[in-house]
Amino acid sequence: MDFFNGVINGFAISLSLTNLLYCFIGVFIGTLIGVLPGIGPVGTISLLLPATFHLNPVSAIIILAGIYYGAMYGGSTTSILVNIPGEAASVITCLDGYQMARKGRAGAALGISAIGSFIAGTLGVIGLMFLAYPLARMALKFGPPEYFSLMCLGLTILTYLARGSMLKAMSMALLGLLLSFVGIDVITGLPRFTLDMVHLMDGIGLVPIAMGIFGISEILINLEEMVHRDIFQTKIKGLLPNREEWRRSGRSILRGTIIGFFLGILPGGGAAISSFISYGVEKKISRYPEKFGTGMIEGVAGPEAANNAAVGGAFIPLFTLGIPANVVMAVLLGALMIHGMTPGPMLLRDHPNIFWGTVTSMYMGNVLLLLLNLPLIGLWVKVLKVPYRILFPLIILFCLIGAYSLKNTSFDIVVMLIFGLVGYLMRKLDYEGAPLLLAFVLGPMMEQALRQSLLISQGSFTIFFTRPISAASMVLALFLIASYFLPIFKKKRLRIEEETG
Amino acid sequence: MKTIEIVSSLFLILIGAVFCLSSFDLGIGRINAPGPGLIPLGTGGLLILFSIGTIFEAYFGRKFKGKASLFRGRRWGVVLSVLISLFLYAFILDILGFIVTTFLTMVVLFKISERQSWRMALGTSALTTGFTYFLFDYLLKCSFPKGFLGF
Repeated sequence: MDFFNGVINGFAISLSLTNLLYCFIGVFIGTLIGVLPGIGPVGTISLLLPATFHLNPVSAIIILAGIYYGAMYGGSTTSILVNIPGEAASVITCLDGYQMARKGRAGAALGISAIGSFIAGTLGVIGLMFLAYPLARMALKFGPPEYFSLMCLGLTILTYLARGSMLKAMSMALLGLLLSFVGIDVITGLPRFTLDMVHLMDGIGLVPIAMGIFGISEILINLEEMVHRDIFQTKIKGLLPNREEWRRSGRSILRGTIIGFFLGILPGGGAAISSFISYGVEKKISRYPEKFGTGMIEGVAGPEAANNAAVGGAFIPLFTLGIPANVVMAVLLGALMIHGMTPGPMLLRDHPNIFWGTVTSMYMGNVLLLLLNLPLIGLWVKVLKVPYRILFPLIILFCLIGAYSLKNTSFDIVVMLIFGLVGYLMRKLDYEGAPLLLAFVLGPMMEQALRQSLLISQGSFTIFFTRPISAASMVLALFLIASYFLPIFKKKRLRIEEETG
Repeated sequence: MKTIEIVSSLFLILIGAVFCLSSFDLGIGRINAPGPGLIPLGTGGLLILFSIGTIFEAYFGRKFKGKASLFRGRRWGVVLSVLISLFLYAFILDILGFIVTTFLTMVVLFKISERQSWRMALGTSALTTGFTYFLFDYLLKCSFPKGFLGF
């Protein structure tokens, strides 16, 4: 299917009444969980995954993708009005967004964040459309060594960009890999590390682990702190920024889009990091860097554009290589596999409907989100006022039902709760959950690629360094690891960490 | 904080060791014909290595923005109660059935966090249980366990 046919076919799929409805449900839930504390896109997508089992794969991915980019829109609302980010990717929006609200420009901040998100989200999807096909064609030439090296690079970048200790992040990635080995070995058919439990023969489920580490643990942390959210009491009026604000935001949105899109493609990059970098860039090139943090509209427009453009970028490695760039994509990869699809270059060739249907639905999703977030802002403010003591039992109940309904067994609830406890302790001890979950998803693919590579090379590890793409990925990964330990790079890294907080 | 860092690293070392030992039972194979235990053995070994590194880092390395105490001044009692009630939920769900177990757990959760009147807690619990049962069991055909009471 060529590009033009693909787009037409994609719109035919995404504009069907059913898929429009699924897209709306996805972006609505996404905005809702973006606004609500206590559960993010990873937890929600995992939670709703069982509900999509009976849908066709395109509709399932449309709804799940909608949750992801919808959450990016919703997250900014809490950052601006409550000074508490609904999402990790909206943390930086608090700095200037909340200050704008305090100065009576809440409407403009919300408006520019929604419009910037719309522009960036749409441009990101266009980029995805143009880049996916050539990359997928290139990926068809990849063999097991290339795949293994790329996955190693992805995990290394993710651990390198982790907050705090890279050693801790790497330990989490290794733990994730070990957990992924539980179950039947695909090559020999032998059960491994199952403790003779029938439930573990199929391995540990992705959904209970993701809901535990990203859902339950977040609720537990919120419960012990019980943050009281004081909504900034202001009448939100004039959602359109004035001419001066438009002038200042336009370039920030474009810069944010470019930064977000390309960082989104990078494994381990993603929405949160791109928003931080966009903020840093805006501050650096501004004529008034000292005013950042006091309500500069560029500090809202740039990062909000970046985190939405990153969504489009993040789909590229998933669709073209079958390698998820971040945790949300890892869960989506799991969703595609449950629906019998194997993401990667073959997906575009064998199931172009999935790709084009999802991508074009993202255009529609962005339009729906603009409508949802601007005229209906009052509704989300009301949602913000629901007390957490009412909210958390409901979120927990949905997690319990989500885990149970996977296989109609309480075993998955227990697994989810164990990982909820583990995730809670991990957060306290500064161990990150993202490397664990990404490694858990990549584990079986990495193991298979490594074993196949060793079979091809008759046991020689040089195979990873003699093929150009594999060698480049491995060298970059080794460089990143070395740079963490080399004093000259270490100092620079610490300085950057201090600067970005 | 240093002690907690070391305890957590030791725990990871233990996990790595368990995987390494079990890998030997599975069969390592040869490097040119890897067995099912080879890669878990390598991964477990690396986990041990990195966890030892974390201990060294805690002693000699950079200082991270750690908390003075993990639980002091926090409502860890609430967290513990919620966890216990949720584990109980998982264990009695098949015995008492979805409706009874969910209703009881919801009452506990609504009462646990902040003081709420019994009437409010009972009413909200009944409402949420009824709504979720209707949505998931009746509409989405999730088929929840009935328990010995038959509902």
